Amino acid sequence: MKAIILAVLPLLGLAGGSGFAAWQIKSGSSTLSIENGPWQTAENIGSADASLQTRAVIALRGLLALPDSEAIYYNAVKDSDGQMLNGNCTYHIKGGTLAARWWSVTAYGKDNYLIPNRSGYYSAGSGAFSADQQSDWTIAVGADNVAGPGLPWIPVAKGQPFDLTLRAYHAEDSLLANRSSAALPTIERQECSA
Amino acid sequence: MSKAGIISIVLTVIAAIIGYFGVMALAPGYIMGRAWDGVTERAGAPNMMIHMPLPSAARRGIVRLSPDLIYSICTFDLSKGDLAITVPAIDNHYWSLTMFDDQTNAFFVESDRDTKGQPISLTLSNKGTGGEGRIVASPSQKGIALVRILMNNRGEYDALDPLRRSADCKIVG
Repeated sequence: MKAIILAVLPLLGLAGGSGFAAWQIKSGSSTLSIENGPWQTAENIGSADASLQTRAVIALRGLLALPDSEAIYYNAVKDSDGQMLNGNCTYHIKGGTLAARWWSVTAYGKDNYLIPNRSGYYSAGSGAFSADQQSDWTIAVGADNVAGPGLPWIPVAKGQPFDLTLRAYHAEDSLLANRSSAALPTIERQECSA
Repeated sequence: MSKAGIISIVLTVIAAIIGYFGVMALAPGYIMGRAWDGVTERAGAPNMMIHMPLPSAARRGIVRLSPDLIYSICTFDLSKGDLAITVPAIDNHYWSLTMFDDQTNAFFVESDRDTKGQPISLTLSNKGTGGEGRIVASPSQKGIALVRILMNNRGEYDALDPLRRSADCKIVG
């Protein structure tokens, strides 16, 4: 009996190591290691220079992502107070000028696909604001249109968790070199319903 | 603890490490292979450019598409020969061509900023030589070429769609 246990233990180790890796890839845990407020990102996304873990997670959750020279991607699963994003609440994303040619924020469901909604809106970004508004803007996020006049709205599913991706195309050096400290939008929770 | 017990624990730790890094190392190739198969099945064959419809919640297959981009995609298999790729210039819009190897690594990317508004025309070869014109070496026989065009708003799709349809990929022998 003891001999069988000793022989089976390495197989359990193999299964455990494989399972832990699969869980890390699926959850994205600890791979987007650069934090900036509620946003997380990694270096060398889409590149052979990325770490083994980053490459595996990006393959599953961001296949065919652009390399840093073209775009950088931030992801948020929590608001600025550390609460998980959920479609039972509404949020205001507030920010200023981003050092990039173009940027946008998109909401995704837990399945990593765009969230079905009647309006057909999935994102909002620099294209939604005039030159005067680029330095001080607000985007509303919620299951219902809580944006108000002139405020872009990203719909999400009521009661469902979601996450946000901030894309910055042709980011300037000031953003590329300061991913953890550059000024990024805040995600402020507004009202929640049961 | 017995000598056999110590050996078993050491082997368990080693097996766990092998399992962890094995899955991490194999995942990109496996996921890329599934994506390659899916897109190729939709196209009917590799080495053909598919002009994908406007991204929406109803479109499944490739995760986390940007709803602000129009995508054209070509799965390539260089076992059939070199691949000629052309991408038209789209004025006043961000557009790019990115090529990924079979391990998901981007080995080529060029955008309108790089071409200064000129179109892209090149030959992809896994030998990296031969033919005339611009030759780009592919690190793997199979991979994916992806064209992105950024819409200023989703209402531009109807105007941009005909323009991007001259993007093409084809075997040239």
